[in-house]
Amino acid sequence: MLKIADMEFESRLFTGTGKFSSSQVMLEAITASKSQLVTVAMKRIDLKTGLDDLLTPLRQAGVRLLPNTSGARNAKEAVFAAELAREMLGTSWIKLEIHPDPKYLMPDAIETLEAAKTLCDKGFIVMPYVHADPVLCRRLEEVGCAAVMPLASPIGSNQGLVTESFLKIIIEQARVPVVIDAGIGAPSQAARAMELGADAVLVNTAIASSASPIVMAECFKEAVQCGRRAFEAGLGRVQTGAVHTSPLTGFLNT
Amino acid sequence: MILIHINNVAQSLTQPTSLAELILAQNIALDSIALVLNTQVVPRNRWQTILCQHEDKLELFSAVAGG
Repeated sequence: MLKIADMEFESRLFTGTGKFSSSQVMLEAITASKSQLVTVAMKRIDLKTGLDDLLTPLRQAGVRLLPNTSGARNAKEAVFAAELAREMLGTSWIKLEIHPDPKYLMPDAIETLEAAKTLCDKGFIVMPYVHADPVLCRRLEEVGCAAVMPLASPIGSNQGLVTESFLKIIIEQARVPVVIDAGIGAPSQAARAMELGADAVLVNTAIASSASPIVMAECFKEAVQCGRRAFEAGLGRVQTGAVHTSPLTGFLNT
Repeated sequence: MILIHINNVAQSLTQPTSLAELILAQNIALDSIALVLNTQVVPRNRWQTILCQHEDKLELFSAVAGG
């Protein structure tokens, strides 16, 4: 079973709540995914349009909420966002994300490390979204992060495991759970991430933007389970040449 | 008359009003938001006792869908 900080999770598929066509579809997809940890963002309320009640159905669904700091452009804003989230949701868990660049949403490593240190010191359970940088992941672990969340490819891009070689190094070195986040676009890619030994994956766009989000959520659930089982079973070694699986002698000639 | 700003919208109060009363007057449930008063996050358990002051700047935040 996956353990992050003091919480155990049966499901290794975390999901986001963004980009769904309706709250009802989102809720049904999350239910179908069997995800137990679900991300939410925070926003200043527009008093003219009122409040869209996202929390009540999610709380009723029994999932644990993981607020993110999306929109923060530096460490100071991210710490502020985390404190807001703790007050709003009553959780000290935070997905730390600082991406000032609006085009590629690349996480800012320097600000992220600084914010992570501050938040860990303040008692938050910090899960930072970062580039697939093995050195940075070690540094984040050293300042007390409960997990690391390296990206597979740019957020929402569905490009899959572009960073695979580096994800392998991160997984090999990490002493905290590794959650592959961002860019996973197909169940086969989620399965691959799990086969590599990732502890979990976070998927949002690939489910939400599917023509059938609920079916896709089920597909991801099964892919993650399958990939994890394959990892635990142990993949065979990759070889350059052919190695026969059938006897090559004794059939035609005695 | 007490003049305050909620999310950059000016509002005048004719009588002493707590933060909690102010939020409820906006038809917003207390358990669904976070409140920032003059750049400081205010814990929920103090919303009943803090009264709005002239020129206060309040910011209300809610959870929205995100990845």
